[in-house]
Amino acid sequence: MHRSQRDLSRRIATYLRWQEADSVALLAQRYPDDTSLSLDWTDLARWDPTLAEDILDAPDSMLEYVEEGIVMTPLPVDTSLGQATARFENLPESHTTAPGEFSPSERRGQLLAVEGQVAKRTQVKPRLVEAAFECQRCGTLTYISMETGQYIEPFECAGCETKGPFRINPDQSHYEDYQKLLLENPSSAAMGGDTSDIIVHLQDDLAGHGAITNCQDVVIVGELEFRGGGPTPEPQILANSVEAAGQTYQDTEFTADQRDLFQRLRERPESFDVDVDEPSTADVLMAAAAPKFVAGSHPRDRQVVRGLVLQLVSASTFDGPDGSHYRGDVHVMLPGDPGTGKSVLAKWAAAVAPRSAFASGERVSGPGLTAAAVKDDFSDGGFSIEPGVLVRAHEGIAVVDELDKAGDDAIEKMHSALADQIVPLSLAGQSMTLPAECGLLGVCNPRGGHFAGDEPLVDALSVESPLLSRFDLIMQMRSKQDREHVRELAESMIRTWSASLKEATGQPLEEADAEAIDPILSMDEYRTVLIRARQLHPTPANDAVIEALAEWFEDQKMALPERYRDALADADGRYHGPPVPVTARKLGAARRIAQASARANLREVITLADVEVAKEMVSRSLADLDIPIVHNAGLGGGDVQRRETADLTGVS
Amino acid sequence: MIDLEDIRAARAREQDQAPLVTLDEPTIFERIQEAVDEDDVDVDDADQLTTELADERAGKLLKLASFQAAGMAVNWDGVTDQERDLVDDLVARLEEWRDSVTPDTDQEVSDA
Repeated sequence: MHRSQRDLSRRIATYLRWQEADSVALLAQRYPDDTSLSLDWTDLARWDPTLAEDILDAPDSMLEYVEEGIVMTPLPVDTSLGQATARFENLPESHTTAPGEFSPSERRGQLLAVEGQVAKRTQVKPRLVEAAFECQRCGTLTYISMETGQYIEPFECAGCETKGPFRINPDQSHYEDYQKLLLENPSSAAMGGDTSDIIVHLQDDLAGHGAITNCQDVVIVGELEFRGGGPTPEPQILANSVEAAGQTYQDTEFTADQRDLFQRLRERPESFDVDVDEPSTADVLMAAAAPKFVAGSHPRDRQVVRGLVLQLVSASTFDGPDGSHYRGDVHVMLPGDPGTGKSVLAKWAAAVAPRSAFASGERVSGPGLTAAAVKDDFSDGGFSIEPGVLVRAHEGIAVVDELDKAGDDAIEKMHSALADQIVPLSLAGQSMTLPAECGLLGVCNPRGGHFAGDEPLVDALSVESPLLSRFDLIMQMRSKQDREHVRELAESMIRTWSASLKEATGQPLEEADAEAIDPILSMDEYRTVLIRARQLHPTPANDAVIEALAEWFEDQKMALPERYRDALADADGRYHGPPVPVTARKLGAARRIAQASARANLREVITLADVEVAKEMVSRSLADLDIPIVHNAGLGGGDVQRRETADLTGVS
Repeated sequence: MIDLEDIRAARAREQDQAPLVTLDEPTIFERIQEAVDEDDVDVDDADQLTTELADERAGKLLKLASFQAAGMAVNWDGVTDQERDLVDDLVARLEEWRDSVTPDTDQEVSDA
């Protein structure tokens, strides 16, 4: 280093006095209640690039000089900021990374910004920073500083030179708050593959940081250290600052190109290469989601894709003035035969959603689907909190493949999380809640792997009816039966494979090939459209919309007791009504679907067309559950639409 | 009705936290005056504790005035209208004084 330490600290003091005066002044007014001074690294780099680079390369010593600089900053009050800590945010691209995406040996000792999901965290506990060991023989105090995760006893007493025994004198020792967390790479977690993670140590006021308590995605700035001896030490992060990652939907601003795309989607949906007559904006989103499922395909498959698109845009979640919570997130269940493409759709949904978490029911452990408090090595004898998929998907969608394999216990705990959108936890007599405002996409197989024939869906699933009633849409996917359709699908799959192979191996592509693999919207474009849609809060366009929804619900509700009169009247006291009763929940479902439909069309109002979508989707869902649907065909009353059984037999 | 313990608690709270405590309406000062008027509290003790409380706040107000006069950001949370007037007066005096001791750079430019 060319400059002396004193010069460096003086330089920092000048920067703070003349460039960051307001931040320092406000800190001095809170001090010592608050001791953190947040500094924007990029701002500092603009003022003195060398100094800023030095902080990245040698945070260990540089942060000390910066803190000395804070103390030396001339202030118009007689307050010494001796305990202040500089916390750096907004690091450059070159030092922004994620667990598993950097070489630990090259980056050792550097200041890095690491983005990730909190996979586990301990409770906030006091940590010994400097221990005062009192000799039981002579009473002399021996002071020893402790690094995190370290505990050293004195070799001998400084006074009588014996080996103790010693006891810690807590009044003379120095403690600070401490919390440990496991940061996981979100993209690796989303695909359910191997997870990369890294241990992060939070000290002092960073322990218990709000973003971590709620297990959000975070950006941790900290120094990469090696812990533990031996030939392969453990790389860990000593945190310097914590920030909640990612923008909220409302704050996202768009580029001119993106706004053009929205306008084209809204005003000229037919200009997209979609195989539908007079497509709507929602049709384009559906076609772009899963072309094979939409173009010329069976209406039941189109409904599945529509359900996913509606779930991705969802409806508005908010709290009313009277405190009641309105869930806008749409819960979708796709029970289906193997090989119907449901897992592919689910993985696509997890990948395209602006925020998502993915889990496989088969591998659900520890936190289950909600959250768990566990006592293990990680927490050094205390408890640590492991957020499950519903908490990690907060403000996004949670995708659970093989939901039926999750186990009764995990599913049991899911009930309240789906309804109230919070996960309650109790540990060691304390209770807490974690937010879980997300839509759940549950994919599951019927008992025995295949739907046998025309047994009711409820009987074929190993999922209990109370949980089923939490889902807004349940859409059964059967193996394709209809000859023409099977042929069409097979051809399309082979074409895509052939075109992809040509592209991957550098063979010339024909026009038809290009069409087969060229997406209507790229993943990034799709995600942007979803964020835009989620910014809208459509309201009913007029009274006719409200009346249409109410009338539909009235018909559903009133038709049921009539149809199940005999069953309901059974004397054994057991419920023999429809597998999932039509309750006000279905009205909520219809309301959500209608609003989501307006969002999917990038519209500010809910129209009668959206109500039609809601009716079609919820009716389909009820029909799949074997609940007779009053198809509101007009004034003459309804005819009953039974679950389609025509396509149940045949090819599988 | 306010008693000495309330005043003592308010003073302790003011001492405990760095930023100014936000006072409820009517302010503790007004309520103490009322209690003194109605002879509900020991006047000497009340006067002593209230002075201590006022001094605690004065220390923080002086800090705000210093930062404001230096052109730095100030957090006005918890400052009453009456206290704001005091701070503004102090700021004006501080600025006047500082102008008188710092070099008059405008003058040099026009002279040159």
